[in-house]
Amino acid sequence: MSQPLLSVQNLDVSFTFQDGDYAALKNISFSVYPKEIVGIVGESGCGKSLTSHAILGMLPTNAMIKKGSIQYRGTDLVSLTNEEWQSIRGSAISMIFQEPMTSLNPLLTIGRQISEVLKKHTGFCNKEIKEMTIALMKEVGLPRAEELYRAYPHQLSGGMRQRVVIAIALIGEADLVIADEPTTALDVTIQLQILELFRKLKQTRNTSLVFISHDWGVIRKVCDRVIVMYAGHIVEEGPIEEILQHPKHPYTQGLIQSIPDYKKRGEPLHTIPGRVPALRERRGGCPFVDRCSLRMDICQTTYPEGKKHGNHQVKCHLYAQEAINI
Amino acid sequence: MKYALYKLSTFLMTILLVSLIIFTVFQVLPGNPAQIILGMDADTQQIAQLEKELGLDKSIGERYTSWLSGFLMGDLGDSLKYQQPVLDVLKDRIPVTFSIAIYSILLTICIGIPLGIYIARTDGRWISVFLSMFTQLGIAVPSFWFAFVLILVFGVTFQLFPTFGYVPWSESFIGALRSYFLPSLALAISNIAVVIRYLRNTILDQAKMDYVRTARCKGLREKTIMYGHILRNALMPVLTIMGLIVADTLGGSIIIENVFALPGLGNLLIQSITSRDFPLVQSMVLYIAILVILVNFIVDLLYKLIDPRVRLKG
Repeated sequence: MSQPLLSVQNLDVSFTFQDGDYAALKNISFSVYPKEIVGIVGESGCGKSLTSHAILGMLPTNAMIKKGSIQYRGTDLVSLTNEEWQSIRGSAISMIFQEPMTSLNPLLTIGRQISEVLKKHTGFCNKEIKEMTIALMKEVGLPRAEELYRAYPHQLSGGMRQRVVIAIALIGEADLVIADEPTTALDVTIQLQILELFRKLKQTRNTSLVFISHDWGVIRKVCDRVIVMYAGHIVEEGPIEEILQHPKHPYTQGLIQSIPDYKKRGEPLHTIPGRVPALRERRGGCPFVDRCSLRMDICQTTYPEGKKHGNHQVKCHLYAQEAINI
Repeated sequence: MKYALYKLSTFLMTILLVSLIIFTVFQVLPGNPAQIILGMDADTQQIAQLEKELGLDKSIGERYTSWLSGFLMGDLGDSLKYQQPVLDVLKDRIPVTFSIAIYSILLTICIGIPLGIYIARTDGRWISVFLSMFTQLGIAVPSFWFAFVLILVFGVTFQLFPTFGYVPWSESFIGALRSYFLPSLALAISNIAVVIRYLRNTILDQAKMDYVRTARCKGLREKTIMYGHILRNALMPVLTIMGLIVADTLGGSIIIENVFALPGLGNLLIQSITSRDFPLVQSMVLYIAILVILVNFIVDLLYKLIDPRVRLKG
């Protein structure tokens, strides 16, 4: 396989509160290869968004990287200065946010908000920048782009605003785009249109995408590979179809059983009892132990090692004997 | 354009309403003006004669319309004390008060806004805490006290600025700038403090918004984010405060003009109230009211200019 574009190794992130430090991400390792779409799934509070913020160097002020590295094309991002970050953001790595309603500045025109990225990172003249912006606006499916260039966010619908946010992320031709629940705040029909747009962009552009969602339907539509996170840990990772057909971790199994399906019409929807433990409640052992129906004694005390079956990887004591250690 | 016309019509309606209120208030004030002019021992015939001359024998409605039409024609009647048209009395006073008011508002903007940005940017550091404490003081202490302190320090001790009277703009620009400096600053200090505190808070609020995160993700420099994104949004509420400050400044000038012995409108207002010069007081109150309404009208237009979301009923 080719060199990874992004490689996260043994990343630990902690929050500092008055009563001490609490680990929010533990031992996170994964890679993203060129032209690949990787999904990150998990319930709220699992650390999906925190992972994406760490990759962009935009952790909240009370959060800190304790250990590990984040490499982008071989450069370690963890030790970058502010100026170095500014040259990476927008042009090498960019991000699409969940809330299209609030992620745009209400007082600036759409055109200015998109073209700003080019003004910062390239030396094109204003006319070229405007042409490139309008061309991209058309590419992401904004109708009457010339007119919308001068429009303000409040004049646009939610779906159109999300297309603007996507255009902002794409205009700098970043190699890696992180999309944090980009369709969650949208109507289902608009959601589908935006997912279609991602699929189209996957074919037309050389961009890798990290797609964060709690919605398996969304993940299945766009992703090649999926990472399942639980309470700050990666519990399972593998190709999307493989995970959907043969989930190994009890948490992944629970999640997949919770997907509503026509075949299960009339039956009550499956749920995983309990909730994600809060930061302060997390202790040693497997983080899922309290909610797991298959728990063993060892789960209470020891954190499971990662086991690899081909390109499918799982961290669970159930599979301790089965496969090769990594 | 539609917005401006709508605002203009409400502006005119408000002035009409205010003129009606002012007129009514002066009608119900105790004391017959004719009696006041002629003194306590005038006989009833003389009083009736003067009432007729002043038009006091007509009905209230007639008097209101004649006063209002007079006002529109630029004829506000004669001042009782000065025995000359009200406009002539005001003519010399207006430049003094306007100079102080405009000067002090410019000082408020030029000092308050940069300091507000600075304090927001250094939020959490000791310098910011220190300056915030001072703004608290600036709000709490009345302007005439600042006036005394400024006179003592700059006028008496260092003798940098004159402490009373003024130099007209036509005579010497620099001289006028110097002579108006202390009163304007005394008037501006508490407003500066208000603007600093307000701007700091709105900037810090705006800095938490999602669009700032988007801007940061674009790789923009912190300076660009502050001046290109945050500041515009943060200035909207400050604009509202500025409207109030202008009204406040006109009121505050009454005290400050007395401290610095400046012959302005504030000074005149107090004199004409004590001498019951009703035509003068009535016109001045109307002028001040119109000015305040005008400032609010301008603020409304500025809103529209800054924020594209502002709509008719917005």
